[in-house]
Amino acid sequence: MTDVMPEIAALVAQYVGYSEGMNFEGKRSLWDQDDPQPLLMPEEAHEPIIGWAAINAYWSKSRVIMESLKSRSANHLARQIAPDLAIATYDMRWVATLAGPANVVRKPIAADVRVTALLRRKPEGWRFFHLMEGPIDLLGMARLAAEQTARESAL
Amino acid sequence: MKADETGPLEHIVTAWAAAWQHRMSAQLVALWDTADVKSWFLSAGSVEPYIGHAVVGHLQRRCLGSNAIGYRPGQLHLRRLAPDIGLAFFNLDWSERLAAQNLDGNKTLGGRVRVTMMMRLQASVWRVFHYAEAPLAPLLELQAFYEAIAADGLENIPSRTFVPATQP
Repeated sequence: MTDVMPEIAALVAQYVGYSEGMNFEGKRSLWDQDDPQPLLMPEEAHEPIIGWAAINAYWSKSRVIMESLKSRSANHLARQIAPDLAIATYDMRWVATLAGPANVVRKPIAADVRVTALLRRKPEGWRFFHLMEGPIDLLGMARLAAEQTARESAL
Repeated sequence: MKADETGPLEHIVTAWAAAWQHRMSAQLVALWDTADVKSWFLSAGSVEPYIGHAVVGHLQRRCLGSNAIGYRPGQLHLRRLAPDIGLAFFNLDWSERLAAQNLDGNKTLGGRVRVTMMMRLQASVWRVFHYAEAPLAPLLELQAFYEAIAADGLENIPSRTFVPATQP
Protein backbone atom coordinates (compact mmCIF):
# COMPACT_ATOMS: atom_id res chain seq x y z
CA MET A 1 0.00 0.00 0.00
CA THR A 2 1.23 3.47 -0.80
CA ASP A 3 1.91 6.15 1.80
CA VAL A 4 -1.33 8.14 1.92
CA MET A 5 -0.22 10.35 4.80
CA PRO A 6 0.78 13.49 2.87
CA GLU A 7 -2.36 13.54 0.74
CA ILE A 8 -4.74 12.84 3.62
CA ALA A 9 -3.01 15.22 6.04
CA ALA A 10 -3.41 17.97 3.44
CA LEU A 11 -7.06 17.04 2.97
CA VAL A 12 -7.69 17.13 6.73
CA ALA A 13 -6.04 20.54 7.01
CA GLN A 14 -8.24 21.80 4.17
CA TYR A 15 -11.35 20.30 5.77
CA VAL A 16 -10.63 21.70 9.21
CA GLY A 17 -9.78 25.07 7.67
CA TYR A 18 -13.30 25.27 6.26
CA SER A 19 -14.54 25.77 9.84
CA GLU A 20 -13.46 29.39 9.54
CA GLY A 21 -16.46 31.24 8.19
CA MET A 22 -18.45 28.06 8.77
CA ASN A 23 -17.96 27.01 5.17
CA PHE A 24 -20.02 23.85 5.36
CA GLU A 25 -20.35 23.71 1.56
CA GLY A 26 -16.58 23.34 1.47
CA LYS A 27 -16.73 20.62 4.11
CA ARG A 28 -19.45 18.77 2.23
CA SER A 29 -17.35 18.82 -0.95
CA LEU A 30 -14.72 16.70 0.84
CA TRP A 31 -17.20 13.97 1.78
CA ASP A 32 -18.07 11.02 -0.44
CA GLN A 33 -21.33 12.23 -1.98
CA ASP A 34 -22.10 8.72 -3.24
CA ASP A 35 -22.04 7.12 0.20
CA PRO A 36 -25.63 6.30 1.21
CA GLN A 37 -24.88 6.20 4.95
CA PRO A 38 -22.27 8.84 5.86
CA LEU A 39 -21.86 9.18 9.63
CA LEU A 40 -20.81 12.31 11.52
CA MET A 41 -20.40 12.19 15.29
CA PRO A 42 -19.75 15.72 16.61
CA GLU A 43 -18.77 15.94 20.27
CA GLU A 44 -21.79 18.06 21.18
CA ALA A 45 -24.37 15.80 19.52
CA HIS A 46 -26.24 13.30 21.66
CA GLU A 47 -26.73 10.84 18.81
CA PRO A 48 -24.77 10.09 15.64
CA ILE A 49 -25.81 12.03 12.57
CA ILE A 50 -26.36 9.52 9.79
CA GLY A 51 -27.33 10.30 6.20
CA TRP A 52 -27.13 13.41 4.07
CA ALA A 53 -30.41 14.98 5.19
CA ALA A 54 -29.36 14.81 8.84
CA ILE A 55 -25.82 16.05 8.18
CA ASN A 56 -27.06 18.99 6.10
CA ALA A 57 -29.55 19.89 8.84
CA TYR A 58 -26.81 19.74 11.46
CA TRP A 59 -24.55 22.08 9.50
CA SER A 60 -27.42 24.53 8.91
CA LYS A 61 -28.15 24.58 12.64
CA SER A 62 -24.48 25.20 13.46
CA ARG A 63 -24.66 28.54 11.64
CA VAL A 64 -27.46 29.59 13.99
CA ILE A 65 -25.82 28.44 17.23
CA MET A 66 -22.34 29.87 16.68
CA GLU A 67 -21.31 33.41 15.94
CA SER A 68 -17.80 32.39 14.95
CA LEU A 69 -15.78 29.21 14.61
CA LYS A 70 -12.15 28.42 13.85
CA SER A 71 -10.34 25.08 13.96
CA ARG A 72 -6.83 23.74 13.52
CA SER A 73 -5.57 20.15 13.34
CA ALA A 74 -2.33 18.49 14.40
CA ASN A 75 -0.75 15.10 14.99
CA HIS A 76 -2.10 13.61 11.77
CA LEU A 77 -1.78 9.89 11.14
CA ALA A 78 -3.24 8.09 8.13
CA ARG A 79 -2.92 4.70 6.56
CA GLN A 80 -4.50 2.72 3.79
CA ILE A 81 -6.46 -0.29 5.02
CA ALA A 82 -7.81 -1.50 1.65
CA PRO A 83 -7.19 -0.40 -1.95
CA ASP A 84 -9.91 2.26 -1.69
CA LEU A 85 -10.12 2.78 2.08
CA ALA A 86 -8.05 4.73 4.58
CA ILE A 87 -8.24 5.54 8.26
CA ALA A 88 -7.01 8.82 9.69
CA THR A 89 -6.61 10.12 13.22
CA TYR A 90 -5.79 13.65 14.25
CA ASP A 91 -6.24 16.17 17.04
CA MET A 92 -8.40 19.20 16.42
CA ARG A 93 -8.73 22.39 18.46
CA TRP A 94 -11.84 24.44 17.87
CA VAL A 95 -12.43 27.99 19.07
CA ALA A 96 -16.01 29.24 19.00
CA THR A 97 -18.10 32.16 20.14
CA LEU A 98 -21.68 31.18 20.73
CA ALA A 99 -24.47 33.30 19.30
CA GLY A 100 -26.41 35.49 21.73
CA PRO A 101 -27.70 39.00 22.41
CA ALA A 102 -25.46 41.73 20.96
CA ASN A 103 -25.26 43.57 24.30
CA VAL A 104 -23.87 40.55 26.18
CA VAL A 105 -20.09 40.13 26.09
CA ARG A 106 -19.17 36.55 25.28
CA LYS A 107 -15.67 35.12 25.51
CA PRO A 108 -14.61 32.47 23.00
CA ILE A 109 -14.50 28.90 24.27
CA ALA A 110 -12.23 26.18 22.91
CA ALA A 111 -11.42 22.51 23.34
CA ASP A 112 -9.39 19.74 21.78
CA VAL A 113 -10.94 16.61 20.29
CA ARG A 114 -9.36 13.42 18.98
CA VAL A 115 -10.79 12.53 15.59
CA THR A 116 -11.14 9.14 13.92
CA ALA A 117 -12.04 9.49 10.25
CA LEU A 118 -12.62 6.95 7.50
CA LEU A 119 -12.04 7.91 3.90
CA ARG A 120 -12.74 6.37 0.51
CA ARG A 121 -10.63 6.89 -2.60
CA LYS A 122 -12.68 8.53 -5.33
CA PRO A 123 -11.64 9.74 -8.80
CA GLU A 124 -11.38 13.27 -7.35
CA GLY A 125 -9.26 12.10 -4.37
CA TRP A 126 -9.82 10.83 -0.84
CA ARG A 127 -13.23 11.68 0.61
CA PHE A 128 -14.68 11.30 4.13
CA PHE A 129 -17.59 8.99 4.89
CA HIS A 130 -17.24 8.55 8.68
CA LEU A 131 -15.96 11.11 11.16
CA MET A 132 -16.08 10.94 14.96
CA GLU A 133 -14.90 13.67 17.34
CA GLY A 134 -13.82 12.40 20.77
CA PRO A 135 -13.04 14.84 23.57
CA ILE A 136 -11.41 13.55 26.70
CA ASP A 137 -14.15 12.66 29.20
CA LEU A 138 -15.36 14.82 32.08
CA LEU A 139 -13.10 13.15 34.66
CA GLY A 140 -10.10 13.47 32.37
CA MET A 141 -10.85 17.11 31.66
CA ALA A 142 -11.20 17.86 35.38
CA ARG A 143 -7.76 16.31 35.87
CA LEU A 144 -6.30 18.43 33.03
CA ALA A 145 -7.86 21.55 34.55
CA ALA A 146 -6.35 20.76 37.96
CA GLU A 147 -2.96 20.08 36.38
CA GLN A 148 -3.11 23.45 34.63
CA THR A 149 -4.04 25.21 37.88
CA ALA A 150 -1.11 23.54 39.64
CA ARG A 151 1.29 24.62 36.89
CA GLU A 152 0.03 28.19 37.00
CA SER A 153 0.13 28.47 40.79
CA ALA A 154 3.56 26.77 40.93
CA LEU A 155 3.17 25.89 44.62
CA MET B 1 -26.69 -4.66 3.58
CA LYS B 2 -27.52 -8.33 4.02
CA ALA B 3 -27.53 -9.74 7.52
CA ASP B 4 -24.97 -12.39 6.60
CA GLU B 5 -22.54 -9.62 5.62
CA THR B 6 -22.73 -7.85 8.97
CA GLY B 7 -23.48 -10.91 11.12
CA PRO B 8 -19.79 -11.63 11.80
CA LEU B 9 -19.24 -8.00 12.80
CA GLU B 10 -22.10 -8.14 15.29
CA HIS B 11 -20.66 -11.37 16.65
CA ILE B 12 -17.31 -9.65 17.30
CA VAL B 13 -18.97 -6.73 19.08
CA THR B 14 -20.94 -9.17 21.25
CA ALA B 15 -17.81 -11.20 22.07
CA TRP B 16 -15.86 -8.00 22.80
CA ALA B 17 -18.59 -6.80 25.19
CA ALA B 18 -18.75 -10.17 26.95
CA ALA B 19 -14.98 -10.19 27.40
CA TRP B 20 -15.12 -6.75 29.06
CA GLN B 21 -18.08 -7.76 31.22
CA HIS B 22 -16.13 -10.73 32.55
CA ARG B 23 -12.79 -8.86 32.59
CA MET B 24 -11.28 -11.61 30.45
CA SER B 25 -8.17 -9.91 29.09
CA ALA B 26 -7.06 -13.09 27.26
CA GLN B 27 -10.32 -13.03 25.32
CA LEU B 28 -9.94 -9.33 24.54
CA VAL B 29 -6.39 -9.91 23.30
CA ALA B 30 -7.62 -12.85 21.19
CA LEU B 31 -10.08 -10.47 19.50
CA TRP B 32 -7.37 -7.86 18.88
CA ASP B 33 -5.10 -7.87 15.83
CA THR B 34 -1.83 -8.16 17.76
CA ALA B 35 0.15 -8.43 14.51
CA ASP B 36 -0.81 -4.89 13.50
CA VAL B 37 1.93 -2.61 14.81
CA LYS B 38 -0.23 0.43 14.04
CA SER B 39 -3.38 -0.79 15.77
CA TRP B 40 -5.03 1.96 17.82
CA PHE B 41 -6.92 2.00 21.12
CA LEU B 42 -8.19 5.28 22.57
CA SER B 43 -10.37 5.24 25.67
CA ALA B 44 -12.47 8.23 26.67
CA GLY B 45 -10.43 8.99 29.78
CA SER B 46 -6.95 8.68 28.26
CA VAL B 47 -5.03 11.63 26.89
CA GLU B 48 -2.88 9.42 24.66
CA PRO B 49 -3.90 6.43 22.52
CA TYR B 50 -2.30 3.03 22.94
CA ILE B 51 -0.68 1.93 19.68
CA GLY B 52 0.49 -1.47 18.48
CA HIS B 53 1.86 -3.78 21.16
CA ALA B 54 1.01 -1.26 23.90
CA VAL B 55 -2.67 -2.14 23.42
CA VAL B 56 -2.22 -5.66 24.80
CA GLY B 57 -0.64 -4.41 28.03
CA HIS B 58 -3.37 -1.81 28.41
CA LEU B 59 -6.16 -4.37 28.01
CA GLN B 60 -4.53 -6.60 30.60
CA ARG B 61 -4.02 -3.76 33.08
CA ARG B 62 -7.60 -2.54 32.66
CA CYS B 63 -9.00 -5.98 33.49
CA LEU B 64 -6.66 -6.50 36.42
CA GLY B 65 -7.27 -3.01 37.77
CA SER B 66 -11.05 -3.33 38.05
CA ASN B 67 -13.31 -5.18 40.45
CA ALA B 68 -16.28 -4.90 38.13
CA ILE B 69 -16.89 -3.69 34.60
CA GLY B 70 -20.18 -3.11 32.83
CA TYR B 71 -20.07 -2.88 29.03
CA ARG B 72 -23.36 -2.64 27.12
CA PRO B 73 -23.29 -1.67 23.42
CA GLY B 74 -26.49 -0.35 21.85
CA GLN B 75 -27.79 1.08 18.58
CA LEU B 76 -25.26 -0.81 16.50
CA HIS B 77 -24.44 0.62 13.10
CA LEU B 78 -22.57 -2.06 11.16
CA ARG B 79 -21.04 -1.83 7.69
CA ARG B 80 -18.98 -4.21 5.63
CA LEU B 81 -16.73 -1.70 3.88
CA ALA B 82 -14.78 -4.32 1.93
CA PRO B 83 -14.81 -8.13 1.91
CA ASP B 84 -12.21 -8.09 4.66
CA ILE B 85 -12.91 -4.76 6.43
CA GLY B 86 -15.77 -4.10 8.83
CA LEU B 87 -16.97 -1.03 10.72
CA ALA B 88 -19.01 -1.02 13.91
CA PHE B 89 -20.29 2.19 15.45
CA PHE B 90 -22.30 2.02 18.67
CA ASN B 91 -23.37 3.77 21.83
CA LEU B 92 -21.69 2.23 24.85
CA ASP B 93 -23.11 2.37 28.37
CA TRP B 94 -20.22 1.52 30.69
CA SER B 95 -19.55 1.22 34.38
CA GLU B 96 -16.45 0.38 36.35
CA ARG B 97 -15.38 -0.13 39.94
CA LEU B 98 -11.63 0.14 40.34
CA ALA B 99 -9.75 -2.47 42.37
CA ALA B 100 -7.36 0.00 44.01
CA GLN B 101 -8.57 1.91 47.04
CA ASN B 102 -9.23 5.56 46.34
CA LEU B 103 -10.66 8.55 48.15
CA ASP B 104 -14.26 8.07 47.07
CA GLY B 105 -14.55 4.63 48.61
CA ASN B 106 -14.41 2.78 45.31
CA LYS B 107 -17.87 3.72 44.17
CA THR B 108 -18.91 2.50 40.76
CA LEU B 109 -18.49 5.11 38.03
CA GLY B 110 -20.23 5.04 34.68
CA GLY B 111 -21.26 6.88 31.58
CA ARG B 112 -22.04 6.72 27.89
CA VAL B 113 -19.57 7.01 25.04
CA ARG B 114 -19.77 6.51 21.30
CA VAL B 115 -17.44 3.93 19.79
CA THR B 116 -15.88 3.50 16.36
CA MET B 117 -14.46 -0.02 16.00
CA MET B 118 -12.70 -1.31 12.89
CA MET B 119 -12.18 -4.98 12.18
CA ARG B 120 -10.33 -6.95 9.51
CA LEU B 121 -10.73 -10.53 8.32
CA GLN B 122 -7.53 -12.53 8.15
CA ALA B 123 -7.34 -16.30 7.69
CA SER B 124 -11.09 -16.57 8.30
CA VAL B 125 -10.87 -14.74 11.64
CA TRP B 126 -12.18 -11.23 12.33
CA ARG B 127 -10.04 -9.11 14.63
CA VAL B 128 -10.24 -5.54 15.88
CA PHE B 129 -7.46 -3.15 14.83
CA HIS B 130 -8.90 0.28 15.68
CA TYR B 131 -11.00 1.22 18.70
CA ALA B 132 -11.87 4.79 19.73
CA GLU B 133 -14.30 6.06 22.36
CA ALA B 134 -15.89 9.50 22.14
CA PRO B 135 -17.82 10.91 25.10
CA LEU B 136 -20.25 13.78 24.89
CA ALA B 137 -18.52 17.17 25.25
CA PRO B 138 -17.65 17.53 28.98
CA LEU B 139 -19.30 20.97 29.09
CA LEU B 140 -22.62 19.37 28.11
CA GLU B 141 -22.15 16.42 30.47
CA LEU B 142 -21.68 18.86 33.32
CA GLN B 143 -24.70 20.89 32.23
CA ALA B 144 -26.79 17.70 32.10
CA PHE B 145 -25.69 16.89 35.65
CA TYR B 146 -26.73 20.35 36.86
CA GLU B 147 -30.07 19.89 35.09
CA ALA B 148 -30.54 16.50 36.76
CA ILE B 149 -30.01 18.10 40.18
CA ALA B 150 -32.53 20.82 39.28
CA ALA B 151 -35.02 18.16 38.21
CA ASP B 152 -34.47 16.41 41.53
CA GLY B 153 -35.93 19.45 43.31
CA LEU B 154 -35.02 21.81 46.13
CA GLU B 155 -35.99 19.40 48.88
CA ASN B 156 -33.72 16.54 47.96
CA ILE B 157 -30.39 17.56 49.47
CA PRO B 158 -28.57 14.25 50.13
CA SER B 159 -28.68 13.39 53.83
CA ARG B 160 -25.41 12.65 55.58
CA THR B 161 -24.58 10.80 58.77
CA PHE B 162 -21.77 12.52 60.58
CA VAL B 163 -20.17 9.76 62.63
CA PRO B 164 -17.06 10.80 64.57
CA ALA B 165 -14.19 8.37 64.31
CA THR B 166 -13.51 6.48 67.53
CA GLN B 167 -9.93 5.62 66.56
CA PRO B 168 -7.24 7.98 65.20
